[in-house]
Amino acid sequence: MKADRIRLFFVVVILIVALAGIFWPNKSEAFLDSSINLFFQNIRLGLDIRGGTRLDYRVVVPNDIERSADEIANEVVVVVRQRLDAANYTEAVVSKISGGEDSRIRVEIPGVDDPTIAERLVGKKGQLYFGEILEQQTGIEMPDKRIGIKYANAVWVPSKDKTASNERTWYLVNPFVTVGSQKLYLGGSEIKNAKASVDSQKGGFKIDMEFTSKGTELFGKITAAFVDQQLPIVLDDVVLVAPQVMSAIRSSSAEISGRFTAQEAMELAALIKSGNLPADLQKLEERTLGPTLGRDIITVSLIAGMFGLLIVLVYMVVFYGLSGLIADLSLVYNTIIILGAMALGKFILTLPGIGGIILTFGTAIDGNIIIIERIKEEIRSGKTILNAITAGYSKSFSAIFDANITSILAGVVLYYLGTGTIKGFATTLIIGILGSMFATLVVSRVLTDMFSSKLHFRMHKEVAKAGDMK
Amino acid sequence: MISKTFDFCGKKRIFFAISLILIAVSLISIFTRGFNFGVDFSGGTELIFKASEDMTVAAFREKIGGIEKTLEAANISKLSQMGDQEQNEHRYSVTTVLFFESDQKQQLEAKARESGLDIESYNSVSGFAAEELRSKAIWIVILVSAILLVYITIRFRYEFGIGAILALLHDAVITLGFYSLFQISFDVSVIAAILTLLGYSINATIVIYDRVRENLRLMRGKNTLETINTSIRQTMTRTVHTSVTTFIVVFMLLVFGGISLRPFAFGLTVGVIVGTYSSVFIASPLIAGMLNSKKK
Repeated sequence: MKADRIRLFFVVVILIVALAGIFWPNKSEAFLDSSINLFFQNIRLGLDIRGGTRLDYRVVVPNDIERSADEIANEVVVVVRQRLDAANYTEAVVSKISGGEDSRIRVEIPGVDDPTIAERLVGKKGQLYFGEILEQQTGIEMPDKRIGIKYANAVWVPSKDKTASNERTWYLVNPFVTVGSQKLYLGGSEIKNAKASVDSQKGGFKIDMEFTSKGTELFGKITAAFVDQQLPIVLDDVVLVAPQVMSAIRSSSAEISGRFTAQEAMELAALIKSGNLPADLQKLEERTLGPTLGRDIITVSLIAGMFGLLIVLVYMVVFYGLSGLIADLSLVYNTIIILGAMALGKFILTLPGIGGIILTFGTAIDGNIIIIERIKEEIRSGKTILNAITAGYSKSFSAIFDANITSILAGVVLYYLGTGTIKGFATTLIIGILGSMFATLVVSRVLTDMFSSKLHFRMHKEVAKAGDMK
Repeated sequence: MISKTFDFCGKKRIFFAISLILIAVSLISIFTRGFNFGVDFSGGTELIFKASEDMTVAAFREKIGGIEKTLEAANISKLSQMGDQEQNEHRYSVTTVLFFESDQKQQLEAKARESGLDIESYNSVSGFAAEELRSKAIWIVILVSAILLVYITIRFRYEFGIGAILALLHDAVITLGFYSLFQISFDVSVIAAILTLLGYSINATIVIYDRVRENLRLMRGKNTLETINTSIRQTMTRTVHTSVTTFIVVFMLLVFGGISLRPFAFGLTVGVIVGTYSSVFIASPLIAGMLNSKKK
């Protein structure tokens, strides 16, 4: 039949594309080893399977900013991205989550056992400035506020280090430095670059900074006015270091040498370089899964899924013989299409996603059962095998079509309204149902036509048996 | 097995009564016992600790209380061994209503490590996020029902849409009732399970409705009740085979799927039974009533 030749062509082409998607070696995106990934390297696994951390934050937009919340959220994403890159979390994904009244950002860090550092970097505001010291004293508690015109804008800021008795040096700092009649503000936005390096003079690590041209000019003016005085560098309301200015500095670079550890220096450089967050971040959700627990979960659910699938495959052969075997083949075909589509579309497979796949096994089997039963009915009404097959397929089409379209509609709603895990479920559900429709209506059809001469015998015997029992 | 002459529509009073009782029991349980909400819905933190020594829940409670006082009153359970897990690894799950800020969490982690406990899984949801998810879940269910009603009305008839949606509500309420009765942990995957079950149930209902639609054309002039009875009988073999195979898969998932899939698999297992039942004994007799009263 000509129609079958066209069908067969599509069946083979789609099979090849799906298999290529699954098995084509892909070196640039090799993922961590886990039992499933040994075979399916090209499928992206969600953090709930491969292990990792997911952090959701609400972007708290300050009232006095005129820009839209959306714009600010975009800027937050860029800043957070830069920080994580600078701290070598290159695999991390930072994204803005739309929907709802306020903006959210999500940080996903795969495969890291200890997300503490990443979390520290994301939450910090990263606001840096060079200030002017008005007063300083030592103590455990923050000193009382000073009142007077002279103290406008001034805040008490503690030193980074504290003594053994928990005492800190408290600096009353004005972020606006008085130079002559001018008030100058030199902040993080005037810093072009910052990186950690070994401090050969004082020991430990230091941070090298590079100013923009405006920053260089400001820094020159300020240092000229503050020779022999302290010039504190404040980051997120902590005085990192308050060095003495020796002479006016007119070069474009400066350094913060506070005998940092390598880790500290790297984190600080990342914060300074990426600039300050335009908004505060409020943590809403955190999910961390250790890689070993993830591996145990996937192993267990895979075994359960395979076991159930195996029983269903045997069940079909026992009850439907050769037609059952055809149904089994179309089920296997559907599984290959799903995996291939997941790999090619770069969709993420989550744990509920595996549930969705298992569910579409049901849909694929159901479609085959509907058709087989219909063909049997047609034979019972006296049609020849070939006519019965044609009639069976065309008459069961509307049932299969309507039943599956309703599921897809539900899946689409889920995809657009659902979050994280539910989205993963909706993805495999939609792909799986489309795949099962193809597997049932096209793949099974080709196989049924191919084996129609053999089916002839079995069908009649079964129908005769059913007739006897009446 | 149901015989060839079973009158599905004529006996509908019995089935409606059974369903009404189940719905009543479900609603009573939902409103009195409520749900065992997981952190997704109630807000709070769920931790899984890994320890090298085997201890009772009481001993673990004491140990965790020494690390963080507020966790002493938390909900603690010991997880069974699974997969190819090492023999000397033991896992304990701790659920609390507290939400830890970043620095509090870091302290907890450091202290736990000193006492030989590793945090393997950490899920923390603030009350704000939980509240949002709850309202979203309700909207998803309403929107899905509305879209299905419109689709079925277009493809079939208005009566079929009403029948299908009533059957869906029936399934959703009874399955939710089972979650409440057995106090199964209600987390975000349960929403996925409920929606899957609705998909399954509508699937089963539509296959029968499709037959009714076809037979109403073929057997024009005949008794509507008889037409519907015939349609149910003609699709019965399919109904049995499909529900048995689907049941096998989800039941295996429930039994062998491990703790993280259990709430999901529970809903599907209950749902397959309830969904199959409602498509045969509720959805079809419902349209019989509506189509018949219209004729008169």
